[in-house]
Amino acid sequence: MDDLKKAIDAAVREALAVVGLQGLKQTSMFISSRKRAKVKQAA
Amino acid sequence: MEFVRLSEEDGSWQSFLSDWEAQCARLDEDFESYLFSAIDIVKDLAAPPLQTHSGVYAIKDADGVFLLMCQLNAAHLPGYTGRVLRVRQLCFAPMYDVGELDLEHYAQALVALFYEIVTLSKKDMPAAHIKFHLRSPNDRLFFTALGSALMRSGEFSSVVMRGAWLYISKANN
Repeated sequence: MDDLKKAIDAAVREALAVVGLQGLKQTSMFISSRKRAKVKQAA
Repeated sequence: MEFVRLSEEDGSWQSFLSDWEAQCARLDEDFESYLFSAIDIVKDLAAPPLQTHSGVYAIKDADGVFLLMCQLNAAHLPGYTGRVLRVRQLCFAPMYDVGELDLEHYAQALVALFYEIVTLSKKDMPAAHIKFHLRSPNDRLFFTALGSALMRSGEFSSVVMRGAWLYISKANN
Protein backbone atom coordinates (compact mmCIF):
# COMPACT_ATOMS: atom_id res chain seq x y z
CA MET A 1 0.00 0.00 0.00
CA ASP A 2 1.52 3.38 -0.95
CA ASP A 3 1.68 6.34 1.44
CA LEU A 4 -1.28 8.10 -0.16
CA LYS A 5 -3.49 5.05 0.19
CA LYS A 6 -2.34 4.54 3.79
CA ALA A 7 -3.24 8.17 4.58
CA ILE A 8 -6.68 7.88 2.98
CA ASP A 9 -7.31 4.52 4.62
CA ALA A 10 -6.48 5.92 8.06
CA ALA A 11 -8.55 9.07 7.47
CA VAL A 12 -11.63 7.18 6.30
CA ARG A 13 -11.45 4.82 9.28
CA GLU A 14 -11.02 7.75 11.68
CA ALA A 15 -14.03 9.54 10.20
CA LEU A 16 -16.09 6.35 10.35
CA ALA A 17 -15.10 5.88 13.99
CA VAL A 18 -16.46 9.37 14.69
CA VAL A 19 -19.83 8.99 12.95
CA GLY A 20 -20.40 5.23 13.12
CA LEU A 21 -22.45 3.31 10.60
CA GLN A 22 -25.67 5.04 11.59
CA GLY A 23 -24.11 8.48 11.22
CA LEU A 24 -22.62 7.55 7.87
CA LYS A 25 -26.00 6.39 6.61
CA GLN A 26 -27.49 9.79 7.51
CA THR A 27 -25.24 11.45 4.94
CA SER A 28 -26.28 12.38 1.43
CA MET A 29 -24.09 9.56 0.10
CA PHE A 30 -27.20 7.42 0.59
CA ILE A 31 -30.34 7.86 -1.49
CA SER A 32 -32.56 6.89 1.46
CA SER A 33 -31.11 9.75 3.48
CA ARG A 34 -31.69 12.20 0.61
CA LYS A 35 -35.29 11.05 0.40
CA ARG A 36 -35.83 11.41 4.15
CA ALA A 37 -34.41 14.96 3.98
CA LYS A 38 -36.80 15.83 1.14
CA VAL A 39 -39.81 14.51 3.05
CA LYS A 40 -38.73 16.45 6.15
CA GLN A 41 -38.32 19.61 4.06
CA ALA A 42 -41.77 19.19 2.52
CA ALA A 43 -43.45 18.62 5.91
CA MET B 1 -11.64 -2.84 -6.87
CA GLU B 2 -11.66 -0.90 -10.10
CA PHE B 3 -12.45 2.74 -10.87
CA VAL B 4 -14.35 3.01 -14.12
CA ARG B 5 -15.71 5.83 -16.19
CA LEU B 6 -19.31 5.02 -17.11
CA SER B 7 -20.15 5.34 -20.77
CA GLU B 8 -23.02 4.35 -23.02
CA GLU B 9 -20.56 3.66 -25.81
CA ASP B 10 -18.68 0.86 -24.07
CA GLY B 11 -21.79 -0.46 -22.30
CA SER B 12 -20.51 0.31 -18.80
CA TRP B 13 -23.38 2.74 -18.14
CA GLN B 14 -25.92 0.07 -19.05
CA SER B 15 -24.05 -2.50 -16.88
CA PHE B 16 -24.12 -0.05 -14.00
CA LEU B 17 -27.86 0.58 -14.36
CA SER B 18 -28.61 -3.15 -14.68
CA ASP B 19 -26.57 -3.91 -11.58
CA TRP B 20 -28.23 -1.25 -9.42
CA GLU B 21 -31.65 -2.27 -10.76
CA ALA B 22 -30.90 -5.88 -9.77
CA GLN B 23 -29.73 -4.72 -6.34
CA CYS B 24 -32.99 -2.79 -5.90
CA ALA B 25 -35.01 -5.83 -6.97
CA ARG B 26 -33.25 -8.03 -4.40
CA LEU B 27 -34.02 -5.44 -1.72
CA ASP B 28 -37.67 -4.94 -2.76
CA GLU B 29 -36.97 -1.34 -3.78
CA ASP B 30 -38.56 0.20 -6.84
CA PHE B 31 -35.58 1.13 -9.01
CA GLU B 32 -37.27 4.04 -10.78
CA SER B 33 -38.51 5.85 -7.71
CA TYR B 34 -35.46 4.96 -5.62
CA LEU B 35 -32.78 6.21 -7.95
CA PHE B 36 -34.53 8.49 -10.39
CA SER B 37 -33.22 11.82 -9.11
CA ALA B 38 -29.61 10.67 -8.68
CA ILE B 39 -29.47 8.99 -12.08
CA ASP B 40 -31.24 11.79 -13.89
CA ILE B 41 -28.60 14.31 -12.84
CA VAL B 42 -25.63 12.33 -14.16
CA LYS B 43 -26.99 10.33 -17.12
CA ASP B 44 -26.00 12.93 -19.75
CA LEU B 45 -22.37 12.58 -18.69
CA ALA B 46 -22.38 8.94 -19.83
CA ALA B 47 -23.85 9.78 -23.24
CA PRO B 48 -21.65 10.33 -26.29
CA PRO B 49 -19.65 12.32 -26.95
CA LEU B 50 -17.91 11.98 -23.58
CA GLN B 51 -16.55 15.24 -22.21
CA THR B 52 -12.83 15.56 -21.47
CA HIS B 53 -13.23 17.29 -18.14
CA SER B 54 -16.52 15.89 -16.85
CA GLY B 55 -17.84 12.40 -16.33
CA VAL B 56 -19.63 9.91 -14.15
CA TYR B 57 -17.41 7.34 -12.46
CA ALA B 58 -17.94 4.28 -10.29
CA ILE B 59 -16.08 1.85 -8.08
CA LYS B 60 -16.64 -1.73 -9.21
CA ASP B 61 -15.57 -4.84 -7.32
CA ALA B 62 -13.97 -7.99 -8.73
CA ASP B 63 -17.41 -9.56 -9.26
CA GLY B 64 -18.56 -6.64 -11.41
CA VAL B 65 -20.77 -5.16 -8.69
CA PHE B 66 -20.92 -1.35 -8.71
CA LEU B 67 -20.39 -0.06 -5.15
CA LEU B 68 -20.31 3.73 -5.44
CA MET B 69 -20.76 6.34 -8.11
CA CYS B 70 -19.91 10.02 -8.39
CA GLN B 71 -19.88 12.92 -10.80
CA LEU B 72 -16.49 14.47 -11.52
CA ASN B 73 -15.76 17.76 -13.19
CA ALA B 74 -12.40 19.53 -13.57
CA ALA B 75 -12.94 23.24 -14.09
CA HIS B 76 -11.05 26.52 -13.97
CA LEU B 77 -12.31 28.41 -10.95
CA PRO B 78 -11.56 31.96 -9.81
CA GLY B 79 -8.68 32.09 -7.33
CA TYR B 80 -7.06 28.83 -8.44
CA THR B 81 -4.18 28.08 -10.78
CA GLY B 82 -5.09 25.24 -13.09
CA ARG B 83 -8.24 23.17 -12.84
CA VAL B 84 -10.10 22.16 -9.69
CA LEU B 85 -11.55 18.65 -9.60
CA ARG B 86 -15.06 18.80 -8.18
CA VAL B 87 -16.74 15.70 -6.76
CA ARG B 88 -20.53 15.73 -6.67
CA GLN B 89 -23.41 13.28 -6.40
CA LEU B 90 -21.33 10.83 -4.42
CA CYS B 91 -23.70 7.94 -3.93
CA PHE B 92 -23.49 4.42 -2.45
CA ALA B 93 -25.11 1.45 -4.18
CA PRO B 94 -28.54 0.30 -3.01
CA MET B 95 -27.08 -2.76 -1.27
CA TYR B 96 -25.06 -0.45 0.99
CA ASP B 97 -28.03 1.81 1.59
CA VAL B 98 -31.00 -0.48 2.09
CA GLY B 99 -28.99 -3.60 2.85
CA GLU B 100 -27.16 -4.47 6.03
CA LEU B 101 -23.40 -4.69 5.67
CA ASP B 102 -20.71 -4.27 8.27
CA LEU B 103 -18.75 -1.04 8.53
CA GLU B 104 -15.65 -2.56 6.94
CA HIS B 105 -17.43 -2.82 3.58
CA TYR B 106 -18.21 0.90 3.63
CA ALA B 107 -14.64 1.71 4.68
CA GLN B 108 -13.11 -0.27 1.82
CA ALA B 109 -15.40 1.27 -0.79
CA LEU B 110 -14.73 4.83 0.44
CA VAL B 111 -10.97 4.30 0.61
CA ALA B 112 -10.99 2.96 -2.95
CA LEU B 113 -13.05 5.89 -4.20
CA PHE B 114 -11.09 8.67 -2.50
CA TYR B 115 -7.77 7.11 -3.53
CA GLU B 116 -8.86 6.77 -7.16
CA ILE B 117 -10.11 10.36 -7.26
CA VAL B 118 -6.75 11.67 -6.04
CA THR B 119 -4.98 9.40 -8.55
CA LEU B 120 -7.23 10.65 -11.35
CA SER B 121 -6.30 14.22 -10.43
CA LYS B 122 -2.66 13.32 -11.18
CA LYS B 123 -3.34 11.77 -14.58
CA ASP B 124 -6.55 11.87 -16.62
CA MET B 125 -8.05 14.96 -14.96
CA PRO B 126 -5.02 16.94 -13.81
CA ALA B 127 -5.87 19.21 -10.90
CA ALA B 128 -3.94 20.56 -7.94
CA HIS B 129 -7.11 20.91 -5.89
CA ILE B 130 -10.07 18.63 -5.20
CA LYS B 131 -13.43 19.76 -3.82
CA PHE B 132 -16.04 17.44 -2.34
CA HIS B 133 -19.59 18.74 -2.36
CA LEU B 134 -21.57 18.29 0.84
CA ARG B 135 -25.20 18.07 -0.20
CA SER B 136 -26.56 18.01 3.32
CA PRO B 137 -25.72 19.36 6.80
CA ASN B 138 -25.61 15.68 7.80
CA ASP B 139 -22.42 15.31 5.72
CA ARG B 140 -20.48 17.82 7.77
CA LEU B 141 -19.43 15.60 10.71
CA PHE B 142 -18.06 12.83 8.48
CA PHE B 143 -16.22 15.14 6.08
CA THR B 144 -14.85 17.33 8.90
CA ALA B 145 -13.36 14.26 10.59
CA LEU B 146 -12.08 12.98 7.24
CA GLY B 147 -10.55 16.35 6.41
CA SER B 148 -8.81 16.68 9.79
CA ALA B 149 -7.25 13.24 9.45
CA LEU B 150 -6.18 13.88 5.85
CA MET B 151 -4.53 17.16 6.88
CA ARG B 152 -2.58 15.44 9.66
CA SER B 153 -1.33 12.79 7.23
CA GLY B 154 1.03 15.23 5.53
CA GLU B 155 -0.08 14.03 2.09
CA PHE B 156 -1.96 17.26 1.43
CA SER B 157 -0.91 20.89 1.77
CA SER B 158 -4.33 22.10 2.84
CA VAL B 159 -7.66 20.54 3.77
CA VAL B 160 -10.41 22.95 4.79
CA MET B 161 -14.17 23.02 5.02
CA ARG B 162 -15.73 26.09 3.37
CA GLY B 163 -19.48 26.37 3.07
CA ALA B 164 -20.81 23.21 1.45
CA TRP B 165 -17.41 22.03 0.21
CA LEU B 166 -14.39 20.20 1.56
CA TYR B 167 -11.35 21.72 -0.21
CA ILE B 168 -8.24 19.61 -0.55
CA SER B 169 -4.98 20.94 -2.00
CA LYS B 170 -2.38 18.35 -2.83
CA ALA B 171 1.15 18.61 -1.44
CA ASN B 172 2.70 17.16 -4.61
CA ASN B 173 0.97 17.82 -7.87
